[in-house]
Amino acid sequence: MKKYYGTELVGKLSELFGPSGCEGNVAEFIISQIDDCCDAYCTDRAGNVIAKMCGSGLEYNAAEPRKVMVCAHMDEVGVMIRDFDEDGYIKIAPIGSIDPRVLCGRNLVPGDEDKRIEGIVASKAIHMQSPEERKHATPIYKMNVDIGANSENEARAELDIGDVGVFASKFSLFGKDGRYMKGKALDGRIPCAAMIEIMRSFRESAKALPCDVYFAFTCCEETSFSATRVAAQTIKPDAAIVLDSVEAGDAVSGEPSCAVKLGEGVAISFADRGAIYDRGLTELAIQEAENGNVKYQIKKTTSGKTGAVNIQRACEGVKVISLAVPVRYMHSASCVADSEDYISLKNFVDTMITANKI
Amino acid sequence: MNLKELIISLSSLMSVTGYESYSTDKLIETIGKKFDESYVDNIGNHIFVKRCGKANAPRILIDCHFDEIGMMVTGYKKGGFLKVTNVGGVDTRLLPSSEVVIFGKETIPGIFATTPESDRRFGDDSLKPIDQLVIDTGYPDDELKELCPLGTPISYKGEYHLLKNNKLVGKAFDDKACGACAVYGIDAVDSLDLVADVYFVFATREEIGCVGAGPAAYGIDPDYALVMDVTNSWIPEMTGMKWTAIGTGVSIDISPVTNRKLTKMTAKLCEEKGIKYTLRASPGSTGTDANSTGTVREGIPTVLCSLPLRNMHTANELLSLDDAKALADLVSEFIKSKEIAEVFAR
Repeated sequence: MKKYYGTELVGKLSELFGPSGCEGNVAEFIISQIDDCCDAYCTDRAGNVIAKMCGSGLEYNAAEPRKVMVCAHMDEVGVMIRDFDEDGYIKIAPIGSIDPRVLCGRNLVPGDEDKRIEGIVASKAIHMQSPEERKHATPIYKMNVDIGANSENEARAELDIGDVGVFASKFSLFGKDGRYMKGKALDGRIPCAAMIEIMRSFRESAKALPCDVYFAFTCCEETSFSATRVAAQTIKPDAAIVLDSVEAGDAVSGEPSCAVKLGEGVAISFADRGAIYDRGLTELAIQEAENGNVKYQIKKTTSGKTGAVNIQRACEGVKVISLAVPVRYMHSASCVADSEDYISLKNFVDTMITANKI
Repeated sequence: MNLKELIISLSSLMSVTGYESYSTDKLIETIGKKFDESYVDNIGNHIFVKRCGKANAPRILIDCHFDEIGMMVTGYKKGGFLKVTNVGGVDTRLLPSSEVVIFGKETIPGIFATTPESDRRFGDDSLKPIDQLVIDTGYPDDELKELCPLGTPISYKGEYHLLKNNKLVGKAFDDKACGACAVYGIDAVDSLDLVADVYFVFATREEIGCVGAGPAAYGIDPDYALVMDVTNSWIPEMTGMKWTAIGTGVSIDISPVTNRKLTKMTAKLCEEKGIKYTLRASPGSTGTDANSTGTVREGIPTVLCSLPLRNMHTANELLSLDDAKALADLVSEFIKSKEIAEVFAR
């Protein structure tokens, strides 16, 4: 079986507990991975982890260094505890965008940064459903999470209103030769893993970077409050490479609504619901991908959005570009991504930074 | 193996309706030593016999069904996807993003595809029927057809967790948890204490209409029968009374289909032996193997005892281990009961 390098790191990140607003565990893990391969790092007051790698060498302008920001978000979609009922069931609200159809019947891990319990989203048996009920998903506000409590008091002894939860999902490899990765939160954690690996490879090869590179692992991308903007304001970059993922609808959709396909390489966006990306940088990216033999595809829809929406408007404005890894079944317990696309993402960022054209 | 381990061990076996034979060897390996004989009958019932050692002894039938709901491959979609249909009552509300196990020439994992965001119209909450869903396998199309021919069975992926208050969550407790209770209860009784030869039937094809139980009962010709299946416990989505709550012990069904006297004697047995139970009114069909056993041959006096279960037919069925212990205890007492044998043995 072919061994795909780096999937172990993706797996560790995938299984961490980090819904928006509660990313401490992810931040701590990321710091443990990067503290010896950057020149400086900090956790800012919004919770972002920012690591700097200084430039050097002939191409580096030490007097007025160019600053390039590379970012990915640490947070994942999840749920928040809204209320309890007299029988000990828990009512929830989504954090971020979750299709109710992927929540019904799932295993959850409710808790907080320092506590975890187990629960399931209860589901009335098919025998008891009316024909009409079988045609529509139960709305999330009507769902009941069962932690095994027999009463409201028992449930309240375990959890408080405002506690959060994520999907329970073990990371695994699947498909022929284990080429594909399955897990929760892959949409943000794959780009985080790519950034960690890029930093390691720059450090191990003692690469002379032509600019100062700031790697920002950001919070709260899945919600409207974006800590990404805070990171950009701290860094004040000349340009930003925003790493994220884009939903691959190729399992279900045909043309034209299928934005990207799994296994076809890094997705480059011209525009999405959040931002119109810098045309010059985007064309440069395509050129560099061609030159560097990096597999890429152009995203064919303008659905979705990334942290770029906030970076673009930070300070005096920042040039942004979006590079995304295709992910199927996004925002569910079983996201699926292709290890080849993950490798392409790493190579793409490496190529973009070392080309010194940003 | 304690009762919890036995429940998990049997529920984990692959036994999608009609494909129970995939697990014959493992089943016999797990529970065969607890019995004197075991065999598989013509239609695929797994039958285990524990002898009382007396000649011409009466026969007690204990029936649970071995099969679990599942799916079957019906076609392929380009890109490594399988098309499937349900075998038994599969709840399509739960399928998107759920993990399954595909029992082809190799056993491989699969994931039900979800509706991508770009295809979701605002407020769209419609559920597709199963024939419009696909399972992602990550295999090239040619290899997939070779690996998973049409008709390949598929089951939910089973993961077992213990929640608060001794509540166990996992797949296929319907009806293998009851099977585990039966085996555990029978094993706890010394042969010399049995009032009859005990025939434990792990029946085939219950989920598509109680197919196996009748032929099994016909072949065994028992004096009386105890059928055990799971029963829906109240959860908040249901309206009406909060019946058969989890943690209330064995649920004894009172139904026109079952034998009224045997039912009352079984309830009395619980009363005498301190086994927690509730009565449940089932005025029509019970939807279980008890529908079949009662009319076999000259009619077999049958009692139906149920295990309360939440989220039936999902990958996260929930039972109480305390209820399961009560059911196992009832099985032990039932096969030792001289009072019942006196009335019902021929």
